Amino acid sequence: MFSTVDSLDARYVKIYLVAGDRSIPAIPPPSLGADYLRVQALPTRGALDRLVFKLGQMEWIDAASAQHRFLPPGGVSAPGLPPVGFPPVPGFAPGDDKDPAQPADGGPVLLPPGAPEAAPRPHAGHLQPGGPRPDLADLPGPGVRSMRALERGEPLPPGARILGFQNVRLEVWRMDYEPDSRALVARKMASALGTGRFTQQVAPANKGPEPPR
Amino acid sequence: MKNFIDQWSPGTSEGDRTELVVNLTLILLLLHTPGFWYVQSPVAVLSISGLIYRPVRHSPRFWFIVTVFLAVGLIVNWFSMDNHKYLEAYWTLALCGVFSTPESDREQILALNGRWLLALCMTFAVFWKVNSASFLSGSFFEFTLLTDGRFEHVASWIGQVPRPELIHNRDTVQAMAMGYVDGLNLEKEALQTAPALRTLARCMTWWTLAIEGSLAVLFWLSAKSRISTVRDSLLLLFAVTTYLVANVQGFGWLLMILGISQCRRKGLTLLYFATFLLIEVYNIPSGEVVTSIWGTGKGP
Repeated sequence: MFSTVDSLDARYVKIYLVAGDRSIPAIPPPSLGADYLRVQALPTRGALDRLVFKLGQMEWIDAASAQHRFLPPGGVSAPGLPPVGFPPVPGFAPGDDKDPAQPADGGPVLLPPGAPEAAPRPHAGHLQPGGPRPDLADLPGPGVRSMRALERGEPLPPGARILGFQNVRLEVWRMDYEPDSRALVARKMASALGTGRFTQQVAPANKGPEPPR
Repeated sequence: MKNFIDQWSPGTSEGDRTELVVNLTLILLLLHTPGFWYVQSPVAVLSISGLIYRPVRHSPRFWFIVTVFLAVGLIVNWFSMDNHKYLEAYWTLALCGVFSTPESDREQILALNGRWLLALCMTFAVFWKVNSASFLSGSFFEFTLLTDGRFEHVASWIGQVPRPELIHNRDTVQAMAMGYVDGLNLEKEALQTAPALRTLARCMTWWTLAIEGSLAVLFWLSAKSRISTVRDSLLLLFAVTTYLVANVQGFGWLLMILGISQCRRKGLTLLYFATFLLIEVYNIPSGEVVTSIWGTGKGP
C-alpha cells in the first residue's frame, strides 16, 4: 500500500536454460506473463514448480539467430570455444522435428556441455535493426546472447533451430534500496529447477530410450 | 458566495446526493475498470445502462452484478491488482446494500458506508506505513523519487536531481531486472541522487503519515459539524496535493466519491466535485509543458 520498496515492481524473475555446467539466460515468454506476476507476488514452492514445468515444456530457440542479429552465414567461432553449428553432442538434442545434422545456416546454436559460463561483462547496449554488427567475440558465449521461447502456433524463424537442454532454472529476485550507500541491491528470494522437455528424448548411456511424451 | 454555492453545488437536496454519488461511481467504473475482457466489457455495458436508465442504477441487483464482475477480476488476478480496485468492489457492494433499503434511509446508509470505508482505507494505509522500516526511514520515498517516472518532475525541480540522472536510475532498475539476458548480472548498483532529494523524501514521509493518520482518526469519529468540516477539508487537501504528484486517477476519483457520499455541507460538496474534475485535469502533462517552456532539467 505505497509503503515499502518491496512491491511487485521491485521483484523480477530470471530464467536460465541449463546445459551441463553452463547456464544460458532466457527471455521470459510473454504468454506466461500472469504466471510471472504470480511467482513475483507469492513465490511458493507450488507456484515456482508449476512455472518451471511450463517453461520446460516450451520450445526454445536462440533469440539472436532468430532475429539475424549476430550470426553471419556459415556460423561463427569465438576464441576458446567450439564453433557454432556443429552436429549435436550427446545430452543436448535438438527437437525431433528438426535435422540435428543440419549445417550452420546463420542460426543453429547448440549448448556444449562443459563450456565455461559467460563472465559478466559491461552492458553492450541495445542493438538496432540495420545498425553496426557487434563484435561476435564480445558475446557471452559462442554466438549465444539469450534464448527465447516459441509461442504457441509461431512458426520457426528462418535459420533458427529448437534447442535441447537439460534443465530450466528459475530465480525470483527482489531489489532493495540501501539509503546509506544509496545503492540498489539485488537479493535472491527463491529458485526452482525443472527438467527440459527434450532431455527425455535423449537415450541415457545405461538405459533404453524413453518414449516421447 | 452563498448564492453561487446554492446554484452550483451538485447533489445537495434530498435524494440528489445519492444520485450524484451513483452517477460518479458509474463514470468511474466506465473509465477505470480493470482491463481484463471478462471484467471491462460487462462492467462497461452495465455502467452505460445504469447511466442511461434510472431504474437500473437504483436496483440492488444491478449493483450486486457489478460487484460480482469486479470480484471475479480481483479473485483471478489477486496478485497484480491495485489496492483501490478492492476498495471499488467494496463500494459497489455497499451501493447494493444502500438500494436494498427504503428510500428514506438511503442517504444515511450511504453516508455511513462512505465514512467507514474512508476510515478503514486511511487506517490500513497508516498501519502498513508505520510497520514498514523502509517507509519510516524515508528510503521508500527516496527510492520512489529516484526511480519512478511519475515523480520525475518533483525529483528534478525540488529534489535537484537532473533529469538525465533520473533516466539513468530507471535504466539501472531495468538493467538489474532484465540485464541478465544480455549477460549482465547486476547485484549492487549506486543510484544518482542529491542531498535535496533526501530532504524532500523525509518531508514527504512525515507529511503523508501526518495527513493519513489525521484522516484515519477523524473519519472514525461521529459526524459532528466541526469535525465533519475539518475532515472533509483535510481529505480535499490530501487529494489536491497527493494526486498532483502521483496521479492515480481511479483512486483519487473514488476517494472524492466517498467524500461526497458522507459530506453534509454544500460548499464542501462543490469542492469535492471540483477536485474530482481537477484530478482529471492533473492528467495534462503539465511537468513536460513547464519543462519545455523553461528548458532545463533542474527546473526554473
